[in-house]
Amino acid sequence: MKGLLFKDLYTIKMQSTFLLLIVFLGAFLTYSNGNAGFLIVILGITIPVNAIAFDERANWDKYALTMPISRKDLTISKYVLALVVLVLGTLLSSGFMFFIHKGDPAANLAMIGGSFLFGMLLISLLLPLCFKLGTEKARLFLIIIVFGVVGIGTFILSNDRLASFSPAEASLYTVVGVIAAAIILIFIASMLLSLRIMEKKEIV
Amino acid sequence: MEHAISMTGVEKHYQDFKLDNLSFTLPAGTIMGLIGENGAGKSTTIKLILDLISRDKGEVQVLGQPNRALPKPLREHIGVVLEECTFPDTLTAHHINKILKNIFQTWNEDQFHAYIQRFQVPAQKKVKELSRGMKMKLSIAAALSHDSKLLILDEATSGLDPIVRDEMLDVFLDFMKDETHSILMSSHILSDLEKVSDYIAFMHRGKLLFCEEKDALLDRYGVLKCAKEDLDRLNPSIIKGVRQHQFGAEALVDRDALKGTWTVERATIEDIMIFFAKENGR
Repeated sequence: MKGLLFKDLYTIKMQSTFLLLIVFLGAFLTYSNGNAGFLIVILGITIPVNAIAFDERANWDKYALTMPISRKDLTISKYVLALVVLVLGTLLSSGFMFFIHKGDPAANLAMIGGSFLFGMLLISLLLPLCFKLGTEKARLFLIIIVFGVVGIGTFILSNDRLASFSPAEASLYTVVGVIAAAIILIFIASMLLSLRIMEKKEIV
Repeated sequence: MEHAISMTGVEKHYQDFKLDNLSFTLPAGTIMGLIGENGAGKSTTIKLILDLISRDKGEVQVLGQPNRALPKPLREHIGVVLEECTFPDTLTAHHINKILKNIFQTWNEDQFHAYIQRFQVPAQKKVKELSRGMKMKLSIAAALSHDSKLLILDEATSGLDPIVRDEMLDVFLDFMKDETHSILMSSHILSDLEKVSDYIAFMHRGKLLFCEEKDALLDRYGVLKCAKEDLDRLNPSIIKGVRQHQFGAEALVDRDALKGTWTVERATIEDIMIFFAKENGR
């Protein structure tokens, strides 16, 4: 597992120009728009998906499975990578929010937390598709998934609906808690689904 | 452990291809050359041994254990070189050492560096900047730098020049000095296999036509050169294949069963393969 993560981190390090560009863009947009949350989402999606794409190009899985590495290790390592990137993205984005944007700390935390969960939801939906269809096709689904999730989210949170739903602060925490728990469950379910997919996959 | 690999009645069906009732054993301490035309099923066989693809029927044992769910400590002892270089192409030999060190418990860093140096693979160059020959040498170095007892080489020496190929064959023979070590290697370069193999397994259109000791094969078969009419005077059962040309005919014959005075030349593995393939409908 450690070796697999090392490999992913080395290949990511080799795309450092791309990453620096995103970070600079992030810093700039935080300054101009006051939003650094998208950084978590972009990094959280592109890095794990790119890591799988690199493996595909090199036919790495085929080789890895001849070593003391199981299909389970291959699958779980990508979920671990996703979590690592989400956490690092969150730290970076928090830094930008508190040092570049400043503003209301509570609002900042809400935005960062929301972005983290959004990134986690998207990668949970994407990874099984990557394992099943390959990253090429899964990337096409990315657009549908993003529009779907954003559409449903906006529909639920649209103004008139929110007007009729004005919870006390305590129950607002409950709602947030329920959403967070649901997304964590989706993440776990996604991992179980990917494990099933990889267990049956013919590695050619 | 008597057998490094044993396959019994293995079948794999695809829409347009069928690997049929494949059975053979690779005794520990020997080298087996796997030969056959493109699409004969050599790579499919190797993938089945490594459990990369699922079989429809049969049993496969590797190092004395069923190949499905081969325990990790046993996997330390299998070194594999695949047809294509499977390292991510932005990495260097230096990175690969660090990665494999964290995958194989038996990884021997010094040995890897020694091989890299001996094979003259530039350690700081990215995989994508290496020539095909260098990539294969890198893969071979990796396969030999953990506690491998069984090497599985799929076209590992193709793309290498004759001098380097000869050097690699020496490395493989060196590996075989430990009598518990074994090698299964597929290759189109039959002269290489003829040099090092103890056994030759010949696959043709998804079937194993034979799997025999190389020396026995070379002793048994000869190439008879004669006029076309002469072939009719021979007992058909001793003729394993015929090649006709403008000036006469050549036949692969069973030397011991051939009576009379004929000019019979020594058959190479390549002769045997071509005659067998012709006879079995190319």
